[in-house]
Amino acid sequence: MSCHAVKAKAFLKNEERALWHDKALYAVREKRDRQAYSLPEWESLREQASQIKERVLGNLADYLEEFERNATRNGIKVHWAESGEEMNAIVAQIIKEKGAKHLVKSKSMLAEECHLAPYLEERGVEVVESDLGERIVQLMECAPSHIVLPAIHIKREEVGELFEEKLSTEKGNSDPTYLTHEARKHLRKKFLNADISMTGVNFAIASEGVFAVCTNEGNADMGTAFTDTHIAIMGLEKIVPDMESLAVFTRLLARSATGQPITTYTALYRQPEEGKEIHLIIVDNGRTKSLADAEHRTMLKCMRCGACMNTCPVYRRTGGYSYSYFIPGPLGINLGMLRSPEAYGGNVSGCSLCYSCSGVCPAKVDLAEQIYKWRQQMAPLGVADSKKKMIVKAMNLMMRNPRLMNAGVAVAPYIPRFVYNNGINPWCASGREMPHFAKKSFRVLWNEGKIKR
Amino acid sequence: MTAKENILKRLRAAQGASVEKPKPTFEPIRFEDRVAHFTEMVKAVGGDVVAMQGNLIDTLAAAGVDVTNLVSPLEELQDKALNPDAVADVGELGGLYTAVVSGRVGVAENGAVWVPVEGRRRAHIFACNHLVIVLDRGCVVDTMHDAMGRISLDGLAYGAFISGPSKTADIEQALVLGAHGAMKTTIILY
Repeated sequence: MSCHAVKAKAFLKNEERALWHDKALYAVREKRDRQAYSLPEWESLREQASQIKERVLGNLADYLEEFERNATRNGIKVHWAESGEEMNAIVAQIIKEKGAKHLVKSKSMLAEECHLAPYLEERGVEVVESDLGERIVQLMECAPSHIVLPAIHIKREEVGELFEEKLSTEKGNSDPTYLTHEARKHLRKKFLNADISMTGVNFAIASEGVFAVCTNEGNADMGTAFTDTHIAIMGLEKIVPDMESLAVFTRLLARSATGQPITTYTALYRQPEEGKEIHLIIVDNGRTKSLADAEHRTMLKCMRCGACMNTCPVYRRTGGYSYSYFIPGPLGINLGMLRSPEAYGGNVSGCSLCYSCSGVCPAKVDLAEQIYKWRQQMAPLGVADSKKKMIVKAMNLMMRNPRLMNAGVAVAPYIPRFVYNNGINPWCASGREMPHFAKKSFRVLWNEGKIKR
Repeated sequence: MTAKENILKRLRAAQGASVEKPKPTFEPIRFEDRVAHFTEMVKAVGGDVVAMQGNLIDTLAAAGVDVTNLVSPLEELQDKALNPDAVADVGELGGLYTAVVSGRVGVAENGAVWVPVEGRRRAHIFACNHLVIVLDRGCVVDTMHDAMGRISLDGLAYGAFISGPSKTADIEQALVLGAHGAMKTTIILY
């Protein structure tokens, strides 16, 4: 069994919760559909976004330089980091220079990718996640299970118990409104106490040297408004050429992500306020390597909306923790493979190749085709299942030899089922029955004249 | 070589042939009654829209706002409201009050309003309990394409498109208004 299948089994033990998870995410997918269908130009918008991203990827060095020039002119301090370690070190250095101790941050997948929070905590910095879902998983000391809905795997009763312990909320009260407003009070204190803030970047507009941060809670803007230093981190693929491009992406992002017409806050940061500083770190951490991979560079067009997860029948039914990469679903399968086929090859089987993800991606990334390609690359990369590889070799030999093939097909129905319908057969995962062999093959029926033209 | 030089060198080697910038191939949606659609969308995202009745302070009072507890950079409220730029420490803006700000462009397709911050401080926009945005109904456009054409970033430190009150659905997908910022958002159209 692949590592994905093993972990999925654990998730599926709680049938009721698995069913809830499936339905909750499909409801988000349906909300996305309603938004998409409400715009006659939806498909043209996706095509436009895809082409803009192609343009960006083909001219990325120039766009980054243009962005840096304009951002610097605006008063933003731009840094470059080749790796996650370099990014973390730059962040730690800025925090040190400012003498800061309390960092309040909004959600950033890049921070997760580079393990920034534990790095800073080891250096004595308090890191407070300010997105409610992120704060819940942080207090629970677990990882997000979805990139947009980090706590989608957690039930309200569990949040109630967690807050009872950590925030001293009322015993037994698990009403989402009550809990959210208690978290608001708790985080309000954290915002006012913070001495430095961090955000991710949704879009960096090259022509303006401005960057956009999109949230529903307003947590990113709360953090930056109350602190004197704002550190923003961005993967280098986050560039969009100009404001007209930003219009295209802001129309697609929230509609695809949560089925909202736009995020509540789409903040444009152009210049630090008087007496304040904005530091922006442009991070590579493997992205230039992905760009050089002609087969898979299309993954860099992703805008992290999570639509591919919400629609994925495997993700919905197995949960984010079934994947070994920190980003789950079709996106995570692909990004994990770009990161390390050796470490994350076990995820590629977590896909039924239904292609639904490719159908909803707002940047038209062909996620399913990408997974299919990775499957073809498993053997050359040396990460294929050795048992499957051996059996496929044997099958190949047999199918090339008609006499052997016919003999095999004739004998197959008489082989006792336990020989192949067992745990040793790598295709026979538990809960999956191998098909029965027909008593007579099509060839035999044909020769007996039982097939009518 | 610096990190920047290394990254740019790798990018130039990896990015391949330059790709042309695409031309828009579609006509964005147009609404028959832009202001009506805008109003509908603001309500759909949890906000409210009211028409200006007489002067601003009367309109605020009629909308149920406690006019003795206002924070606003607007000229016409200077004798009634605390000016956010006047506070010595931004932490003073962390409490419970209604903030009144000026919006420049309303977007019919999504109920968002462009709120540029021309003053020094912006904390009041997010920390307030109730955000009131005053907007000229003639500045409502159809889509984000039109909005981007209308806004100017020159000289601006910060601006935001704001669509309804702060919200979250992070606990079991149950929608809750007022995650951090405004619990309520009201747009006053004049």
